[in-house]
Parts: sequence; C-alpha cells; structure tokens
Amino acid sequence: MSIIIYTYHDPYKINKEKFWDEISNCPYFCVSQTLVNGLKSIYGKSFQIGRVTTIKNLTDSLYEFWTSTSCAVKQHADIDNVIINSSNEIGLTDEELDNIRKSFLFNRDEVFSSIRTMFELRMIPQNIVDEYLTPEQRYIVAVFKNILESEKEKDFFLKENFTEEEINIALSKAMNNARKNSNSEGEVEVKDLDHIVIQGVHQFSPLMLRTIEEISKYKKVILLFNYQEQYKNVYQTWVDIYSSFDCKIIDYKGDEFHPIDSSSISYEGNVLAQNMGKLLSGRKEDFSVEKPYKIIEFDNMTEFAGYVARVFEAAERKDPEHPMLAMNEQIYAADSSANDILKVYFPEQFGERQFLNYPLGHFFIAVANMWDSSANGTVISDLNDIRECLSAGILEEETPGRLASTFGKMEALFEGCISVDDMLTRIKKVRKNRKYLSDDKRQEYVSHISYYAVSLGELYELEMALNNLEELASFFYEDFEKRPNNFKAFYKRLKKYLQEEILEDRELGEVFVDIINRVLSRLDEVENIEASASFECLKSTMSLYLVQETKPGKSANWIVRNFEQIDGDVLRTVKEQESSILHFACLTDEDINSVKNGEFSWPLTGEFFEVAQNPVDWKYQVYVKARKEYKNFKRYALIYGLEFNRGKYKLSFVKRDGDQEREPYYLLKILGIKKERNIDKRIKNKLEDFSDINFKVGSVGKYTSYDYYRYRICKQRFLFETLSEGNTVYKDNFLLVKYLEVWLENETKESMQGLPCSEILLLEKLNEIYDEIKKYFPFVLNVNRIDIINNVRNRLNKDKSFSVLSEENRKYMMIRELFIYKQLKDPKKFNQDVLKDKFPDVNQDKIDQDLSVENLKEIKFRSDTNLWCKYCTNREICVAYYANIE
Amino acid sequence: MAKMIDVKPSYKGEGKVWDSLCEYLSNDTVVYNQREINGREYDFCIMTENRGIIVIEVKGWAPDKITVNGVDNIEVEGYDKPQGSPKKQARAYRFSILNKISSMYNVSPLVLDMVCYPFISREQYYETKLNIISEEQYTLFKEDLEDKDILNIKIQEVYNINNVIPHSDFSYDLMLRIRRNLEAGLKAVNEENKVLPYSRLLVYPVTISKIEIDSLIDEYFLGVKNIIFVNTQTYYEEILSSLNCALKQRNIDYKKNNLHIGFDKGIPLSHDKDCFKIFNFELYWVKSLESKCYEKICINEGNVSLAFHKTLEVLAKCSSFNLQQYKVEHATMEKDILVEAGAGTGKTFLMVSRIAYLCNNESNPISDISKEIAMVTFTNDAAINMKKRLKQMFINYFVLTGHERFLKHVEDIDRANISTIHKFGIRIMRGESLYTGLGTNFRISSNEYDRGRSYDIFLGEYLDERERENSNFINEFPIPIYDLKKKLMNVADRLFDRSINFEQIKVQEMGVTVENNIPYFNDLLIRVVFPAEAIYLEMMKASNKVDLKECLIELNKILSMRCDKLENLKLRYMFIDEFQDTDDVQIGVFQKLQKSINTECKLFVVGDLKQSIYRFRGAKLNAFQRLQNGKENEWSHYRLNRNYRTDARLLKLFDRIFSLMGSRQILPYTREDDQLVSDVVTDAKEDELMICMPCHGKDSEKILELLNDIILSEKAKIENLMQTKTLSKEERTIAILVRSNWQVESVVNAATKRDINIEISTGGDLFQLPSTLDLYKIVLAISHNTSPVYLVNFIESNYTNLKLDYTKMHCISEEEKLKLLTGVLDEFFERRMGMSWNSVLSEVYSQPILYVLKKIFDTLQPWENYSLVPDKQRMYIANYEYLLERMIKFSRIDALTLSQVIEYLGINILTGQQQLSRSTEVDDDGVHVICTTVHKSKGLEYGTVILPYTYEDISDTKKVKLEANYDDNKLSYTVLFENGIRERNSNYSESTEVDEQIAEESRILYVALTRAIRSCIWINNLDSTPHISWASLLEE
Repeated sequence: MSIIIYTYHDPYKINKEKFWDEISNCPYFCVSQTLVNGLKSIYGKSFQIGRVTTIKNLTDSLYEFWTSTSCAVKQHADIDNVIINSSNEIGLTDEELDNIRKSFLFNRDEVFSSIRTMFELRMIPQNIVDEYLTPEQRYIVAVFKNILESEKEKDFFLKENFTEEEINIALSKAMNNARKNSNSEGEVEVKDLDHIVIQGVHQFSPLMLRTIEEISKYKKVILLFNYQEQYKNVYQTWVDIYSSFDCKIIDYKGDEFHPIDSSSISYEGNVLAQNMGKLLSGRKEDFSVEKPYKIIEFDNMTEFAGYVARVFEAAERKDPEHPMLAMNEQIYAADSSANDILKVYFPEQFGERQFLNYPLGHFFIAVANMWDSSANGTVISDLNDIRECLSAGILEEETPGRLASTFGKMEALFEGCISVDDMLTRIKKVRKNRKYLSDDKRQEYVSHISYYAVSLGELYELEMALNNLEELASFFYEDFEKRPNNFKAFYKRLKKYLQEEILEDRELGEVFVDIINRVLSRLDEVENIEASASFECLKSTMSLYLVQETKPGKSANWIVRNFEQIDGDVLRTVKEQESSILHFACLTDEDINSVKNGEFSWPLTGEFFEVAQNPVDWKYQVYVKARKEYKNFKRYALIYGLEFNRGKYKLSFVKRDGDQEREPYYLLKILGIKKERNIDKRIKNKLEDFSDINFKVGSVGKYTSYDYYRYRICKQRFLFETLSEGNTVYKDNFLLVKYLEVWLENETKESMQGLPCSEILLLEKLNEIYDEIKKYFPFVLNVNRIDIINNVRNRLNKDKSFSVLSEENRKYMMIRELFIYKQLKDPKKFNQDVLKDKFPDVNQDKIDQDLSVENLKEIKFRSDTNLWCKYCTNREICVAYYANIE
Repeated sequence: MAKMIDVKPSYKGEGKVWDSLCEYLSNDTVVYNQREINGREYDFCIMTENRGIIVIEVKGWAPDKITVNGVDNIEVEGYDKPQGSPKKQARAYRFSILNKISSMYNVSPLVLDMVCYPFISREQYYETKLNIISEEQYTLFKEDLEDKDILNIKIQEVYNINNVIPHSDFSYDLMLRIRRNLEAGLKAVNEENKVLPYSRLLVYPVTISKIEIDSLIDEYFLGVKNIIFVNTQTYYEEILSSLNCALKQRNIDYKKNNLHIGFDKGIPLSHDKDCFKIFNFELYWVKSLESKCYEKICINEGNVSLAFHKTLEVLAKCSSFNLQQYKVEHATMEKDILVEAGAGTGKTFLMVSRIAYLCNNESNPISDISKEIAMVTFTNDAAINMKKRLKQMFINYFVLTGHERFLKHVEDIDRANISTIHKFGIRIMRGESLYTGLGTNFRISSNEYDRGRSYDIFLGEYLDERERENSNFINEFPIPIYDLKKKLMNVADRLFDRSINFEQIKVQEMGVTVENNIPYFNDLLIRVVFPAEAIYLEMMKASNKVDLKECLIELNKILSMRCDKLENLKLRYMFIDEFQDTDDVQIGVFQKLQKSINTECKLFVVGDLKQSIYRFRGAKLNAFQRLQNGKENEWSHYRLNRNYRTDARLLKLFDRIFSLMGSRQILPYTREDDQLVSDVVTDAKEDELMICMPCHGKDSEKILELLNDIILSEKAKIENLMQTKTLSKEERTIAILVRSNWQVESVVNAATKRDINIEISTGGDLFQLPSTLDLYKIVLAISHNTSPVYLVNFIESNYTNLKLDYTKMHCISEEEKLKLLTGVLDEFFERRMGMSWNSVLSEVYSQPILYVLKKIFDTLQPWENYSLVPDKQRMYIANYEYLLERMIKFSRIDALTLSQVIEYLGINILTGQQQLSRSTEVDDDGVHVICTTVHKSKGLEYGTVILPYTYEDISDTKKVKLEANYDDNKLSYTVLFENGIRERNSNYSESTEVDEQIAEESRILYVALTRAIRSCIWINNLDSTPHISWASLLEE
C-alpha cells in the first residue's frame, strides 16, 4: 500500500475537507491525548474513544518489548558492561580511553538513548564514515558494534517484517487499551481497517517512522497536518518535515481562518496571531496595534510554579476528582521545567511518580552511596548519607524526626568516622564514660559537651537504628558483584523488605502505603529481568526501576502543559468560550527557540547523521529534519494556539533563570508589549496578630552572675544559653577543641597549684591530663593536640610558679569554661578588648533587678554581633555573625 | 545557454549531460557539477532564479548491462556489488542541500531531485524495470537530453508538481548569497549587478536630487546603513521628511535609536539641530560643506581612499560623526584587531556595529553567529547586556527589511558564546570529554570542607614526619597549626585567583625564605598544598564536578597538552572585552584557542590599560604586548577617544590631573594618545565641575558629616534641575565611590542617622540575606526538633510573629521546655496552616522537602514580618526563590532532601560564600544616592561622583597580609600569621610592590573620576597628609 499526506486548513472544519470520508471510520492516531480529546469534543460521536487514540499507544503495542521498562533496564546494564569492559579499538591513548569511559558513564542516560536511536534507525556500522566522526562518536559506534556482535544483541531486538495479521492485532490492541484506560466499556469496532490516520506529528521519532513504514506495507497510511498558506513562513517547518517523506503532499485549497469578528471574546488574541504571522512574512504595513498587549512577568520559575499551584489548588477545591479539567486557565509553557517543581508540590497529579522523590526513596540511595562494593561493607565518606538514612522514616523512632534530631546533637562526636562501626564504638564510649562519671567537677565539664547532653533513651534509639542500618545494607548489597543475576536478586530482596518489614509491620499513613504499593507493582513487572552489572550501574539505574506504576485512568497529567499539547486543547475552547483562558507561558526567546535542548542526544550530532551517515533512507531524513526543526515548532504552536483559541488568553514570561535575565519573546516585543509584575500581587498582606499565643505555664528561677554576663554580651545569647538550654553547650568541633584547651588549662592549674614552674614538669602534666580527658573528645587529631598543648604551655609558662587558686582565679576559670575567652582584642579598633566591661562583679540584687521578669518582657532578644560571636556556642544557629563578616 | 560553473566531467555519461544542460537550459540557470556536499559528490545541481534547485544523479549505465532486482539491488556489469537506488542517492543530496540552505539562510526554497540515464531511453527504462526506482516524471532519458523543449518542459514539470505548497522564494538575493558561497570569485564577475553594500557614506557638498534621496531611502529599507552629509538645512529637512514618509508608509516608528512597528509620531521637525541619528541612519548638516569637500563622495563599506580620508577627518572635526568608530567598524576582516578605548567612548556600541558589519558585509558574511562568533565579557551583566543589544540590532534590521535571515540571527544570539571567560571555558570543556573525563553535564561546584580535609591529611603526615625526625619540632613550632592550614589554603587561593597551575611550579622557582620563621615553608607548599589540591581536584572529578577556580587551569591543560584541534569550535571571530583585566593564563588560553579552532579565527580585542584595576587577579600592564607576542605588525591597532559621557569641561580638568600622573609614570597616560574629548555639555556651572571640600578629619565622623551635607546639597541641585529638564536615571544619580566594603558600611550608617537613604550594590550577598538565614533557621528547627534552642531560634525568625515570654522557660527541664515550645508551635501552625507542628514534621519526613517548604513559605509569608517596604518584600521573595533554584541545581530537583538543604545552606552561610543575589531594580524618577566600591562602578556612569576617602597612603604595603603570585617562572609570597609572625620568600620584592601599588591605586582613581557625567566632588582631609594619596594626586 502507501503513505499519503493531506493538509487541512481549519481544525474546526476537518469534516468539510475532501478526504473526510477516508479518515472518519478508520484507526486514528494523534500526536497527543489532548488532540484526541479536542477532536472528540468537536466531532463528537464520529470520534469514538479508542478508535481515536495516541500514536504512542500504537508504537507501544507494536513494539511492546522495546518500549517496556524491563527492556530499558536490561539495555542499560548491557551498555554499562560494554563500556566498562571496552578495549581500545579506536586508537586512543590509555588516558583518553579512560576519560571517554568515565564520561560515557557520567552521561549514561544520553548514551542509552543514542544507542537505542541507532538501533531504531537500523544503522549499519559499515556505512558510517569513520573520518567524519569525533572520538566520542567513534567510541559510541564501537559500543554499538560491540553489542551487535555479541549475544547482547538479543536484548536490542526490534521486530521487523510484521505480517498483516500482526499489524491488525497491534492496531486493535492499541485501540482497546485506550478504551480501557478511559474507563469506557465495550470493544472498539472499526469499519475501515485499510486506512490508518496519523495526525499532527511534528517530532517524528524513529520508532514512529518504523511503525509508519511497517503499516504502510499493508494499508494506506494518511498523515495529516494543519497548513495555512497565509502564514507560509510559520508553517514552513511542517512542509519541510513532511516533504522529507518519500510521498506526495496534497493540499486541497480551502477556507483559511481570518479573524474578523471583533466582538468575539477571542478576537484580540486571534489578531495577535495574525500579526505575528504577517510579521514573519515581512508584512507590517497593514496592521495596527490598538493598545499594547499585556504580558505577565514572573520573576523566576519558582514564582511561576507558585502561580500555577494556586490556579490548581482552586481547581482542586472546585472539583477534587478532576482538578485538571476544573482549572480556570490552561497553561502551556514553552519551557516545561515548571512541571519539575510542580511534581514536587503535587505528586498526586503526575502519572509517573518517582519513588525516589520521597524520603523513603532517599534512604535507598543513601544506603547505596555508603556501600563500598570493593570492601564489601559500608564506608562513610559523607556523614550526610547517615543523616539521610535516619531522616527517611524507615528506621524505628519514637516520633517523626527524632532520630535525625538526636543525630544532630551528636554530630560532632562522629567527625572522622569512616564506618557505622566507628560510630557505634564512639557512642559506646560516651555511654561508658557517662556511667563511670562520679566526680562532680568532671560531670560539670562534660555537661558542656553536646553529645553528653543526649538522653539515654535517645542514645539507645540511635544505636539501634545504626545497627539496623548496617544489617539492612548487608542484606541488600553484600557480595553484590559476585552474585549471578544480581539485579534480579537485589530487587527481589527489596520487594520482600518493603512488603514484609515496612508495609505489614508498620502503621503507615495512606499516602505512604500507596507509594509503596505502587513501587511493589512496578517491581512485579521488572522482577524477571535477567541482568548482571556493576554496583555502580545498579545505583544509576535504580531510578528506572523505582518509578511507580501509573494509577490506572490517570495518564501523565501535566499541570503545566507543553506546546505540543496546544493543538488539541485549543479545540475545546469553542465550547466554553467565556470560562476558558489559555495561558501561554515562558514566552522568551530562549524558551521558544529552545536553546537549552540539543538537537540530538550526546554524542550524536547533526553531522553524525548528515555527514558521516549520508542518510539515504527517508526515515533518517524525516527524523533528522524533525529534530532540526524543533526550534521552529514552538513559534508555530504559539501562533496556532492564539489563532484557533475561541476563549480568552494570557501571555507570560519568566524573567530570570539562574544568573540570566530574559526579555519577552522578540516577536511580541516588536509588536509592543506591556509587562505586568506578578510579584506585586503577593506582597502587602496583613498578617493576623498572634500575640495571644504564649506559654500557658512556666516557672521562675534565680539568675546567676554568668547568666547576667551572657545578657550583657548579647541578648540573644542570653535567650539561647540561659533560657533555652539552661547551660553552655558546645556543639561543633572547632569550639569543642577550644573547650578542650580550656578544660586542660583549668585542670592543670588546679593540679599544679603552688608548684614551681618548670617547663618539663608542666609539659608532663599537660600531656598527662590531656591523655586523660581526650577520651571525651574521640574525634581530636594529633594536630589538634599540638596546638592545644602549645597554647596552654605558652600561657602557663609565663610565671615562675603556679599560684594557689583564689576566688578571682576561679571566676576567671569559670568564665573561660563558659565563654572560652575573657578578653578579646579587636585589631580593627586598636586592639581594644571588646569584653572589657562584660564581666563586672555583681551582687544578686543587681542581677535580680536587671533580669526581672518585667525588664525581660520589654526587651527584644536581638543578637549583638562582635568578635565574641566566634566563640559562642550557638553561632551556627543564630548565624548573625556570618551575615556580617566581610 | 546555462551558466556552467565547473569544468566538463570526463566520464562519458556525465559529459553528455553537461553538454545538454549547457546548450539547452536558459541563461538564468546556473549549473554546478561534481561539487562536494557533506563529504560526498553530487553529479549536477541546477539553480534557476525564482524557481529553485534540482539535483540530478547521473547513471551512465547501458541498458543491456543492468539487471534490476529491487530498489536497492541493481546489478551492473563491471561492479562487484549490486548498486543502490540512484533516486535515493539524489534525494540524499537534495536533503543535504536543503538543510544547508535552511541552516544558513533560515529559508527553505524548493529543492528537488531527479535521476538521469543518458544512455537509456524511456522504452528501455520500462523494459529494464528501472521504473520501480524513480517515477518517469523524475527521470531524464536519453531522448530528453537531445531535445531542448522536452528537456525544459520536463524540468518545469517537476517544479510545477512540487509547487502545490508554496516554498520560500528562490529570489535573486537568496540565489546570489548561495552562489557567493559556492563561487569564490563571484563578486568580481557580478559587479554589473546591483549588490547592496553593508554601508554607504555619502557626502553631498552641493546638491542632492530627489531621485538620489529616494534611492538612498529605498536602500535604507533594504538594510544599507547610511551616513549622509549635506550642506544646507533645506536638504537636511528634505531628507528627513522623505525618511518620515517612508517610515509612515511602512508603519515603522522609532524610540531613541531603535525601531518598532506601528507608526505614531515619526520624526519631529526641529530646526535647531544639525544631525539626526536612528538605527543605521546618520544625517549631518555641515555648514559650508562645499569648502571642505569639492565633489560628491560615496564610500561603500568603509573602503576609504587616502584622498577621502583627509576629508572625513575634517568632517569628523566639525560634526558629531565618529570617524574612529567608523574605521574600526569597517576594519579589515583579515587581521586581528586591537582597540584601546578610553572611558565612556562607546565600546559596546562599537562591538555591536562591528558584528553588524561582519554579518552583513558583501564579501564574506557570517551566517551563524552561534557558531562563528564568540565574545568574552568581564562580567555576567555585560554579557546579558551585550546579548540584548545585539538582538535589538537584528530586530531593527528585521523591522526595516522583513528578511528572515535577521530573525535567524536574533535566535542565534541566545545560543552564541557570549559570556564571561569562565562560562566560555566551561562550555568548551563540556565538548571535550575525551580530555576531561567528565560528563558533558558536569557540575560547577566547590566543597571547602572536603578541600580542608585533604589539607588535614597531608599536613598531618608532614608534621608527623618532622616530629619523628625531631621530637621537639612541634614544641618549637612558632604558629598555631590551624592558622598554618588556613594560610596555606589562602596562598593556594591567591594563586588560583590568577589561574596558576601548581604542576608547573618547579622547586628552583620557589626562592628561599627570607624571615626564616618558618624556613620549611616551601616544603609545606610542595608536600601539603600541591598534593592536597591535586587530590581535591581528583575527588571532584570523580563525582562529575569541577571547582570554578580550576576551570581555566583545566582548560589550559587541555589546550596545551593534546587538543590541537577543537572539533566543536568553528569560530571565525573572537571578541574580548575589558582585555586589560585578563591575566597571563587567560591570555595564553586565548592564544591557544585561536590556534586550536578549526577555522582561521581573528581576534577583536578591546581594552584600556588606564582602567586596569584587577592586579590581585593577575591583570598586568603588559597584557596587550603579551597577546601580540612580538607580532604587532600583524595587528590593526585603533584608539577611541571621543567620549559620550562626561561634560567636555570636566574632561579638560581631568586631563590636567591625568597628564601629571602620566608624567610621574604612575598612569599609562599621554595627552596626545589618551585625552578624552566630548560634545557633552551639562548644566553644571564652571565652578561646580570639580570641587574639593576641605575638612579636619582627625575624627572620621567629621568626614561623614561633611559627606552628608554634600549629598543633601547635591540632591537639592539635581531636584532643582529636574524641574526644567528630563534627566536620565544615570544623570539623576549621585554616587559615593569608595575603596572597600567597610567604607560602604560606614557611609551608609552615618547617612541613616540623618535619614538619608543610600542604595548599595553589595551584590554577592545571597548567603547573608535574611531570606536565606530565615530558611536556614526553619530547616534547622525541623531537623533538630527535639532541641529547644533550635525551636526558639526559628520562632525568633521572620517566619513567625510570635512574642513569647521566654522567662517562663527558665529553670525547667529540657523535656518540659520542649513541651512548652511544641505547644506554642502547635497552636501557631494550627491557626496559620491548619495543621499542628507535629503534623508538619510528619510531612517533612514522608513528603518531598520542597513541597513542605513551599507550603510553609506561602502560608507563613515571612516577607511580611521582615519588612513593610514593598521593595524589600519583593527582594525577600525573589531571593528566596533564587536560593531554591540554586539548591535545585546543586542537587537534582526530585532528589533534594532535607539534609541536602541543610548542608547546602550550612556550607554557604558558615563559610561566608559570595554569591550574587537578585536585586529588583526600580526607578522611581527621583534622585538616587548610591554608595559602592570603585571596582563595582566600572562600566557605569553617574551624574555626580563623590570621593569621601582620599587621604589614605597609597604607598603603604604593610597592610598586605598575604600575597602569592607566580610570574615569569618565579613563585613569590608573603604571609602574615595571626600571632604577628611573617614569612616571605626572596622572590617577593617589597619595593616593587610599593610602585605597583601606587600605580594600581592611580588607575583606580582614573576609573573613579571618569564615572562622572556632570561633576566630581572630593573631600580633602587636612589632618592627614601622607606621602602620596588620591588627595595629593588630585591636588596637584
């Protein structure tokens, strides 16, 4: 049979075209679900659901294996193995080969889709001219060849030469699946199986082209696209792509649409489209712009996503079952990355949910990160991995987040730990030290160390969690690379764990249960993959496995749609003119000209196809042309959308992306456009007064002189240390080391009282005490010791003998214990001591008076930043110091 | 007879076709044969004006020597393998040609393909079944080649069938462009045709006819840039009114220099002007022109003969025509170009015009800006601005002419390499994975924590080893070890600032220590710094990351080691702005790049040594020489002195100061080369141009008091002026220029006390902003939810407006405190968000973190607690969102976790990272007062410039705490430790340092002064009279 291309002019009048009879009774495949819906809403019954569905449904059913997840996973593993074991076939130096391997593994996803494209296009390595290739391309060709020549080829098998029977089966399967997914009953009945329509495809994938080729062997394939001669430059992109097919384009001249009815609600937008069309044809004499068009300016993508979120939330309130349909404006963005943000806000609404988006998923990533396959055990290279595991809600804890919080209190203790065992040993030490602490003074010293301020219950909980974690890690990954079929084994275990330990064992919220159930059903699907590859490959493909199955009936819903979806949705506006708004977003040059996306996946390029390949086959030509024309597609889609919209419209753009600033799309700018800032709608809201919220109970106690000193130094410090913590608690390693120094000095002074000063004696004592108390600081290094001992020695070595400690001395020592320094000289201010008047001698009356409840009620606990912040226990919490340093 | 461009092929069949085409096709047809496209040769390509292109694949097969077994299986005697379809082959060529045309000219004309069998008749074609390969109408047979009419009809027919859908016109202009590309000598042959130049400079000393006026205006709308001189007001007005009519007719109007659609007011007729300029159109009325020029002059594309050059110089003197710019704009494309452009001389405009010339000149225009041009700017803002200007330029062209190729240029700008050198380098590296071993998507990131750990390891090892050798080593150690580590890292940072690759530093280049407080300092560099940095770099690379400071070093390595040709770079022109600020390594990169690029690449370098103020980043005064590398004669060298910014009288005053500095050899300034001249006249009175305000400033408060007085009086002056005149934002701005950030702070603090609002452009403070700190506090509270202090910290942030009686927490147990705080938070969140604090926590640990944070941010609206001022609220929101975007880029959006958010914020806040924040620029039409450093003011201009701190001794180098450099194969350093101990090496010369510093400060003063539009005021502190200071230079 054959392929034929028809154009239609007005999407609302396809049924007036001469070929209507040919297309109205046969299987009908559209570029998008939105086009399916749009056509249905205009042509009603004759466009029965199922008979009319998406082309993706068709390719999926024709190439079922190729489009399955298990195929993708298997191929990933194969490609990884080929890369890792590749030898130098293409004449690189060893270093270059090593580099290229690394870069291929870093670019795994792109390499994967490039290799698939090569298979889909049936590339023949012998036809590729080596001299026109870059080294990276030579390498991917070598990988491709390697697969072709090995038994891995079977994993890349793409069926060819279908029989008519097989084609018919695939067609009816595609149609019936569509019907089922839309919850419609009954089988699809199609009268005409000799014609197949494919409408509106601009971006032909190799798979679609193969489908068309195969089907055209038995049936007449009709390709349909919209064409309007009056905007020929806008539509040239379609003509270019479709003329690459080896067949005729038939254009029955017919009615073109011109906006004339200025009373209609869509008039202004239609004229804008017309003006842009004219402008692109170089005509500007005959149009007038009555008032400037308006465009909403969003400061950034997050703000835009926030705007969309509000539209969506309103719709959700209106119709919780079908919020997408209830949205009072449909939003189309030239840059659909807003969805990446929205997916996080409204995971429910997106067909495909990444299990790995949730803390639960991060748990598995973090465990994998910690696993060292060469050592066959966990290795901590980043304490954050541990924190991640503790924050995932998987390990048992009393209240959500308690493990993470306990870990936070103890973090300093774990500095330098390289395994979970190390951590457990240190915890044990803390417990042991606590148990044997009887000396009051020592107890007091220890109370200033953050990890000694943790309750026994918390300690125990953390220990348990770490043990479990270690066990789990081994359960999943031990001997991973030695096991045959290791992927399968791993996922089996994962499934078992999720099923038995999480789902059945815990009381989980509804959402959580749903997440896990869907992961499980996904795991069912991929369970039988026979693949073995490196641990690294497992890590990088885990996300492929752990995508959850789409909820039935909910195909990928995009809150912000892309420009591909405009063509269908526009058609729905005719029914709901008053209430519908089409919002075209991200209208900047960068977004419309899609600067961000390369034309081909790395390392393939235009030259690879056009020069090194000399594409003789029409499928190549269509594919390459389509990719190259993508940049013109969005321009077309915008004009089409504005032109055939029958409702209201909005335009918007996102001004900033990273450190780049953008302007509205230049065609709009030439026509004169006025910006309106969205951010202005968000500000100046009066917040409700909450002064009635306060502590219901509480106690009153006496303040000490040290509380008073804190108060004099910094109000916020007083609030934090005296009121909130009731103590000075050193939390980070820098201060803990400083504190160790103070402790060492104080204890040395204590034990050397009255003795004559001899350097040798002093050093001996210092080392002795240091060795004794360092057990409380298991993270300190030798270099710390050097600094500490040198500092203390230099300070104590000044006098001839050690004095017997007086009250004054003890006060000084206490101040050091609580504030590290009693004096701090400011080099910027002639070495003035900034703490000079902060530690006066005071009596209790003065303290009581200054720190009376009434006085404290009046003050604001503002921070007072100065040199002392450097030694403040809570400097990393209040952070005022860091905001003010130059 | 067709135009046969190439020689007749030697093959018999092809030869026969050649003869027929030559003889029978009409003379508007051009025929090429055996030309290469995409590495393969087609047989024939026929171009016909107003129709299109046909590619013909010729097969000289004999009918009895072939057997057709299938479309791609034709057995031909004499060939080992079966032959493929010639039709498909022809289609492939057609496809290649079409793609090439559309990528170059942004249009798709009709390109078709045919097969030709010169020895096979139609009958034989059917007999041999060749009809399965190509349809009859697309096939030329033996007999077709023998009959003129049949051949022509057949070819016409192919065009007709395919013209159902109209393609882009295959116009004369398009065909000519394509032909120029294919025929090197075409220009000469084609002289008789009307080829439009890029620009025309026309001088009409006596008369100009209506026809001449119409023709030049017509050409203007075809894209020709016009510069016209006339001698009378009548002609001047006549041309303007014709232009106005033409604009009206085409529905075009203009604003400032730029064009837009929709005619409104057009050109106002004012009789007191003698020049008119809009985009690509300059008209000058020069009185008694006839005495300066005796005949009509027409210069195309800047080809100025010697005779006319004199005349142009005269014209430039008596009008605002800028001959210097004109010459650079039209300079030869064959040479590298160096432009020394003084302050305010219109550099950006120059570069934009130059690109216009490169894209539109007759002989060899650029067709793809994104591939053929790169431009390196000093800052990101400059790159953004440049892109904007270039786009606007091509939009202007498009509005004028309606040609699609200008739209292609507009679109290409976004893809083009217009960026800072770092971004440019990163982009190149992304394409060179063979050498980097990184993915194309590698991240730019830094990890000071890991870097520090790497230092710990090597430093620890070193000290252990020394201690083993000498057990007392540590006790004798003169400085704290943590300070040593810090300083070692700082030394490395200084070297990184100048893109020094440590691998190249040899032991003998390290000098010897001079103070000998730490005699083994070189050892420390070799044993600790170098390996620690190398390990850190490896670690980064292993996770597909590169530290920004390593980028240029890496690029330089790639370029110098093996990359003799960069596959992906096909640049023809590389523009470098602010060249005086590039360091040696960057210059090396440019030189190597020029060699590695796949085509001949010419440089266009703009700079001004007098404005070289980045010595600390390695900029040197010999930058130009270094670049030219002894080959000065291969370069074209230009200067720009016509200033568009500053009052001409003020420039004269400046000249006196600069000349003196020049004669003392502390500023590279000579009057004849460097004096700036301008036509700018402001309202400033003679005695207001340059004012010295004396002050007894022993107490710095006094100076600030005086400064505030000056600000207030200047403000009043400008407000007064604004009553009669519209001023631009720049003209309405008073700028207080200082040397360092702490001075900005003092100025602002003092002004606040007097209720004077001063704007500051701190810029790099994203991680110091309240929006960032507040976010940090809330995530800390979430992750430390059992620690009362973290909860209090959060309550005190802008996220809540709670006012709690914290004294009630005194003396109760931690557990009870936690209960109290949780209770309060529960109530607060319940009322604000409809969920308890505990439910918030629950959500955090089961939902994506961004989801929760967004909910909290939107409902708690911290910006409302932060400030009541709308602008500040906007800033708060914009920077919060910017921060989120940066975090998303730091990780993957869907993988972002609470701990990653904490880690990211923690590292950046606690290490005081500098990151540009977002500002919301507002212009409220009032007077703006800003305070900024001279470095940040570069490239900007202000109505009034005030210099409050002029009394500091600029020869004092004692303040230098740490310096390290590697220059001329010598490593030099000086390091001052916390406890006052200093070490430096023999390569570090203090006396050279003093001279260099004085010169640098002088140039900074040059930059500061030349920012002024109308006036400049400086405060002279009578109580401080150091040997040499800005004040002493200004006083002279």
